[in-house]
Amino acid sequence: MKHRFFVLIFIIIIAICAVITYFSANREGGAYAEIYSDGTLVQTVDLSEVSSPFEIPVENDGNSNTILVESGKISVISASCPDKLCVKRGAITNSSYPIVCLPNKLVIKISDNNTSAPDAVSR
Amino acid sequence: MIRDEHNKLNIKRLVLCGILCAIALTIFVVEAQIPLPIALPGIKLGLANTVTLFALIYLTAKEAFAILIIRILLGAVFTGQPSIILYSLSGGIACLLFEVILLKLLGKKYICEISVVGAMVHNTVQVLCAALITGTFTVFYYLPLLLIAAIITGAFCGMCVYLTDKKISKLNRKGVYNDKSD
Repeated sequence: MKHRFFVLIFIIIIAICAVITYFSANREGGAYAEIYSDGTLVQTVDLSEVSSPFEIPVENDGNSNTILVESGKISVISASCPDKLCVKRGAITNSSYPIVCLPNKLVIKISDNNTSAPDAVSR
Repeated sequence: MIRDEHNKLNIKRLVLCGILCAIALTIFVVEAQIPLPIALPGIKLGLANTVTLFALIYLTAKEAFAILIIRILLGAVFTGQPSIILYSLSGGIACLLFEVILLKLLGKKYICEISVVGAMVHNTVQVLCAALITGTFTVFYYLPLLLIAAIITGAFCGMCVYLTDKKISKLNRKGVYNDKSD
């Protein structure tokens, strides 16, 4: 009897998470990409004004990432971290999920058209 | 529990702990080869939690804790990523704490639900740790996806332990699991 109660709760949680994921993954493409190194905003790039692709090197305590900016998208093409998850991530075009390089403390996110300030920056 | 009240070593329990450590490490290393589309360090399917739950039911919380610590430390070394130790440890210890408390409250019958809650706590604490280290809240974007994965894998681990427990308790007459041996 009590088993069904728990199963119901878990199904509700799955439903809520699925709804959140669906709505957050289908955002429109934003204009500005923000690059955060170690929690502080390092650079803002206007993706719609990019005429030819260029690279941005980012350094943090001896660790480096190289960011490739193209028209409408941004990606990490090389990194000094051991797992290279940020490189495997590919390019992002909207604000659904950011590119994160945890060992190098690098976060790249595209700001929504609605909010201009970062979500939060804490130390 | 390895040493009884006269401080005599219970070899059977000690060997069982060792075997469970080996099983947990094997599961950990094998599932670490499975690539996941989530860019957080130390994120795995979490199937090694099966062993932790089994140890919680058949041994005490102290042995389960020891097996967990050994699995995390050695697993991080064996898979070649010592940097994940902090994330795995924080998630694993929080998970074990919740599972111990829930096991005392609910009993062995609800091991499946306890496993699911433990998996959710593990993933949440891991994301919290990542948020603290990057200094931004953007890693929380992954949380809904991780919670769904946690519920599915937690249910799988819980079902494994539940079915194993059902079969074992039928055979358990004079084995290592109760104190009526030697």
